[in-house]
Amino acid sequence: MGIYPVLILLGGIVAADTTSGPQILISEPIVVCSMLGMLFGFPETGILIGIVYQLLWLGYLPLGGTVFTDSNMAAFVSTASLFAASDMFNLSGAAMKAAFIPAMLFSVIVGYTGLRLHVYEQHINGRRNDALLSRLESGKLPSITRLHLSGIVTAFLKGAFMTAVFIPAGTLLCGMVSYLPDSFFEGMSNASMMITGTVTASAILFYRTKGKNKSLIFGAIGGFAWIMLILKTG
Amino acid sequence: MDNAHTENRLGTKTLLSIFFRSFFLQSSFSTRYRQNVGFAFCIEPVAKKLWTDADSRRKFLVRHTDYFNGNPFMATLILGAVANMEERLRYGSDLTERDIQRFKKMAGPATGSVGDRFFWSNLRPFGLILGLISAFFFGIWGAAVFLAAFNIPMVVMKWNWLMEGYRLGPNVVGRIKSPRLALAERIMEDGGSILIAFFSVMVIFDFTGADNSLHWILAGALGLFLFSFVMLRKHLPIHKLFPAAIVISVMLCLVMSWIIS
Repeated sequence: MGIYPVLILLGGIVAADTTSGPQILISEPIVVCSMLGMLFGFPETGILIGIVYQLLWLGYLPLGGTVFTDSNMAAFVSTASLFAASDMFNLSGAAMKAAFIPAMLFSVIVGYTGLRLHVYEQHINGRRNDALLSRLESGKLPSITRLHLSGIVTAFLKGAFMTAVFIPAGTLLCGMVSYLPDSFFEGMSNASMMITGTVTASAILFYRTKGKNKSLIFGAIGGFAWIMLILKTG
Repeated sequence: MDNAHTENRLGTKTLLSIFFRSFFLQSSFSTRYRQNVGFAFCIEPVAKKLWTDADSRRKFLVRHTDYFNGNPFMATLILGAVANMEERLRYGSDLTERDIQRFKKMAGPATGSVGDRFFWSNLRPFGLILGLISAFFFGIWGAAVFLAAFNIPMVVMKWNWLMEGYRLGPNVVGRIKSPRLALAERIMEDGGSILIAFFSVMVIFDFTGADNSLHWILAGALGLFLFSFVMLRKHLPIHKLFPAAIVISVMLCLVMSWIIS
């Protein structure tokens, strides 16, 4: 687990970039999963997992005041857990695809925990703001830079903490797949492919709520035509 | 207070400092005060430039630590305008501290509404779709395409808004609702919906291996698509639907595997 400190650092950056700053969206699943894929030596798999998570949470808007599932940390932690498990338990092929099932389920827990921690983080910021305002009112000139930067540090620590706690747990969870009978592998790996139905529904619905029905139908027809072309040309 | 000013007393260094700090506007976000400290942090270089005595700086911070809520990218428009107003306040004009506070209270939510719709609801998903399609065909480059598609316009617009805000002062409110932004939104909505439908079909067919004999996986994915679509329309949250869909797909696949074997 020599890569573990790098993951903790990355986790902190992902959490900070999500809402704290600089919000250049390096924390989005398509970016972090691709990055993790390269880090662990599974570039193709990293991209495919990134596509799945990104489609699922395409419509999630990381607005400052919104309380939302921490989709970025969820994607980061579950993907890192899957890759770490594949290293530790020698998972490959169908076993790795099968391990994507517990990884996805784990992402829901991580996302929900991230949500609760985000609320707590805002609470801490609120208390810090109260302290600043009372010092200003009492005629003192506090360092606003120091106070503000401690907000970024809080977000970073939240991500680092989640990474440090959840990745070992997720790794063990994904690794448990290796103790399942081989007959389960095929079914579970097929299920990890079947879930594309749910993630694409989430992405489509985002544009459906914008009332873009005609464009969606037009795009779907184009997609079917493309598939037909591929199947015909072999 | 309606003339666009041409003098740049603050200097490019101060404006650059505001610009770089604006990337961290939300770092102290709290439910009660929103981005109040963030705003004060971003505008602080103006105080350092205009005021030398501690009491004036303290008063400056007091008027910029009250409630502020705006879009983190479009807030540079307000930051530029407030820098202009603070400069005019310092060098004696008819502006008052209350004018500045009133302007912030009025313009902040306006940028929140317009900026959130443009950046979060349109540019981000559109950039993501471009990135996803690129990732599908060209692998790792997809992430770079997304980052470029979102960040290049975002950085350029942030800087332009800061300069425009500084040039126009409070008159900049007329620029918040721009017809060019509305046109860009419409293009991204139409383009995004066409591309996402196209890409979704490709993903379902490709991931489920439509070119091999396992057509039941494809059928299962399409069934799951319909089920999820209906459930999401009934406002079932994703964090409940997703695990349910995973369990359903696993059970379905295990049963089918046993039947086939």
